[in-house]
Amino acid sequence: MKKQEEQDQILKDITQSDYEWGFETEVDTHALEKGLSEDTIRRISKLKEEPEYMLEFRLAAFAQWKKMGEPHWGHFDYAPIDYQDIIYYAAPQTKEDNPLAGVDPELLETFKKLGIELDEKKELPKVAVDAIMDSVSVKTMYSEDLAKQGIIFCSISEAIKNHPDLIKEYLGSVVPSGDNYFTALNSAVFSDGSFVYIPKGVRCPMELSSYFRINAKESGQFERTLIIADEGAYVSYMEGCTAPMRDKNQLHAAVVEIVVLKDAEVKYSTVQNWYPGDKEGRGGIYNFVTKRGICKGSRAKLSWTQVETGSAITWKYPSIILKGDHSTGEFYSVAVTNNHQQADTGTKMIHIGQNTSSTIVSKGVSAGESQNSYRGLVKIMPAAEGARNFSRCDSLLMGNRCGAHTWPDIQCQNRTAVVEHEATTSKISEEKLFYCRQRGLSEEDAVSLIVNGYAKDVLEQLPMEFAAEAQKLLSVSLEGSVG
Amino acid sequence: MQNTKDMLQQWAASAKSRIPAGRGMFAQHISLWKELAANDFLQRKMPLSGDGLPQEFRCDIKDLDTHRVSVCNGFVAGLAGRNLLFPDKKAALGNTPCVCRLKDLSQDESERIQAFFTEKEAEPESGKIRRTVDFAKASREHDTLSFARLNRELTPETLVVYLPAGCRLDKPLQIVNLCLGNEPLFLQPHCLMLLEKGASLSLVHCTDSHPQADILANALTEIHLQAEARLEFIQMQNVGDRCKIFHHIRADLQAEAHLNLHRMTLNGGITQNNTEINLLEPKAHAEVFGLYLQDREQKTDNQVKINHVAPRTYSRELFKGVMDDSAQAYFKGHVFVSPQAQQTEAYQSCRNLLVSPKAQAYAKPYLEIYADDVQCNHGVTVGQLDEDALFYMRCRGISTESARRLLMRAYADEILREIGVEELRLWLTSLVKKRFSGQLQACQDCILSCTGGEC
Repeated sequence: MKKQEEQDQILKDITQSDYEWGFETEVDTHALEKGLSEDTIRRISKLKEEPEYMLEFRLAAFAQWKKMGEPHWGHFDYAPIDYQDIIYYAAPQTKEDNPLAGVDPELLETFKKLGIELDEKKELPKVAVDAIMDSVSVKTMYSEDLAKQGIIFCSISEAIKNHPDLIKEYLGSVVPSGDNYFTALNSAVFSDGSFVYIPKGVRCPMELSSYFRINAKESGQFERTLIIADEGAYVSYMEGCTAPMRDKNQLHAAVVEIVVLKDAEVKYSTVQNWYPGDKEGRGGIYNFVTKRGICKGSRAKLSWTQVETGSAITWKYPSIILKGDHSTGEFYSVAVTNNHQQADTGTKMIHIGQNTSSTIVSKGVSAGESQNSYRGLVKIMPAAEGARNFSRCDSLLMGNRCGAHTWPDIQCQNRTAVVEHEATTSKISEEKLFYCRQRGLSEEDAVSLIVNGYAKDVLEQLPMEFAAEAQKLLSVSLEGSVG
Repeated sequence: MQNTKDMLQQWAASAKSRIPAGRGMFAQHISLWKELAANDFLQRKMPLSGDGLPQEFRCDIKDLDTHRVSVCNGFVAGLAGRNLLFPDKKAALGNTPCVCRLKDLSQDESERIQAFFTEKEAEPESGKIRRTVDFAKASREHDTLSFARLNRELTPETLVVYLPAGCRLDKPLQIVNLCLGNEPLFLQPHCLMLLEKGASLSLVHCTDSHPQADILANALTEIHLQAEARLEFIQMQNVGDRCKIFHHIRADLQAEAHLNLHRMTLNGGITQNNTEINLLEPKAHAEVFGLYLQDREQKTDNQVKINHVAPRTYSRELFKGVMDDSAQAYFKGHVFVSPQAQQTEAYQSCRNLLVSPKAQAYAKPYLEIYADDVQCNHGVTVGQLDEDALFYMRCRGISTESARRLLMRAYADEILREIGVEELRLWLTSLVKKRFSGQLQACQDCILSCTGGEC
């Protein structure tokens, strides 16, 4: 009997097609007025009580941004973004200064509703979370426990104050401010984000995670994450995100930088579930993200796994620079677009060191009137003797009003390298559907099953806590796209 | 000819602003804009008449029996006003197949044939932000249209190949396109090809030059295949290292038309093979094969755009290359499937062998798909010869060198065996064999009987 109820519940979860994270929290928010100028940046820096070097970093980035133009090579169609019509800093008010008691119950409730328990006593599988609402980090869990092993896990604002040496050495070292239009913008106005440092030879005992939430109206979120894994260290990091439903588009321009030193390994997983806009394509998040990691030392390993189901626009190319000899890079991605969503996502693998290897597995699913593109670069530099790359990117089409595109770029400058790229595009095969239907599955369930099977290579790479959520998300995103 | 000079100056000036940025993910490495913006471009001469150029060339390919037509520096050789296939007949688009100059046709007929090749769409604005509706159109590349216009405006003579409905020639047609000259030239060979309903043709198109010639060519071949017409087009390029040949082939295919296009790049300083195929009606079928054997500092760029506009169309691309010394090969394949083109099948494959430490290969295999009931795939590889296969042969007493040569020949054979003209296939196979065994300098075996003693 109980089993039956459970099944009913699962079914209900799966078929619930609305964006269930679309609620709004009523908290007092301290926000700057709209608009971007040097003054805004000075005020953000002052509010965050930053040292002088950060303000200089921001102003230099802003000067570069003013000289750049918005990139338009992506396969997108969107109304121009008015950068003066965005709130660049919005902070939910905390009532007291004491960090333990200071978290507003309303905020705790918000994250609880999102399935994130910020109370350390209640959390069962031990995952340390850095919860970020709008422009500030609300709470970072288990910081003290982790600190005993020398691991630094805190918001980037704290790191700027407490660990200036690490920040000065690594911030902007993988993604320079002037890398592109959105990194320049982010470098100028970033408000918060997570900072992780794993010392030499330490294997991080629990999964680290950050959860991003946009709550305030008409604000943009510009977070910055920096992860440093020192020699022989290991960390698995997860990232999740949601936003309320609104008619107006909101901008999210983040930068993630990862430095992996000799023999270290970093695994970065994302489940991106920003509000995708409604069925007519109104509203939704514009997600312009730059993520890049460097395998600096020998035998370093970096792995990106992403499940992209949200956002009206996704512009995201998590990249890896394979500088150390024998270093390894991996990119696993599932991107699902429905209704009027547009995704242009992929990766860049830059092979510099000898015997470096990289794997790319990208699975795109497009439904409704959406456009889904894979765009990737594999570059083998002349010194990368014995480099190896394998790429596979498949697209699945559901419905005849959507588009699926593949834009790979392969540049091989070393004869000992082996590069392979394969891609296919097709629709769900009639035979598979028929087989499932014959055995009593409804068409929706059959599609959900087939899509989950199709994306399995990628879902398998996710940490366990995420995998179940991601599978559910895939089904929900495709709800209503069949028939 | 003052106008031409003015025009060239204008183009050279506008080229400077249009060179794609040299960095970033999507930079173009080989572009005619770059050549037009080069400092010495305006020193190049455009030949004004075909007088004094040799009229007849012999062909070196043993046993290859063809109807031969020569084009020298863009000028068609042969008697004025005559059908070059049957010199006793006048040039006309009647019931007999006809190869002639465009200007030899009557006004009506000239207009009739040109109507097939007029550009219906306006040149797209460059730099304009595109919307989804723009993306989903089989729009043409801005550069392609510009250079086609340049060719049409500057070409001294247009060669016309015409086959009436249901017609089939008794033997293949051969067009020998020669580039001659002791000074730097800028050439615009232009050819229009119309195959009426059910006509069928095998065409061998050779481009050759003196080994020392310094030629920049912006060649344009426009093909229109009516329903059920079949064309096998074998294009070979064997020019000197200083030649830069940009050859654009555009083909429009109607229902059930069949195009087999082979692009063989045997030698040339810079070669850009630009192919654009529009599958306009149901069941149109196109196959494009390419083989490029590059050494020294040669560069090849194969660009293939296939627009699937109608349902049940088929396309297949297979490109293979061997790069030695400091050679560079670029490949850009773009399969476009419009929302109407349901049940499309498209296959795209590009394989590269790098045999020297400085050789480089670049590939961009694009798929852009707006219909759901499709089968599309592409694959790219860059690598070396199969180590296991080499080992196998060495175990059996074959020297490493011979084993490598054998494998390379087998590698090239996948392209060569698709050639339908038997004698040509044998000749190319032996040429490739000699090339791999290092016996062949590019100049040897070239079909020019040069007298200067350079050969």
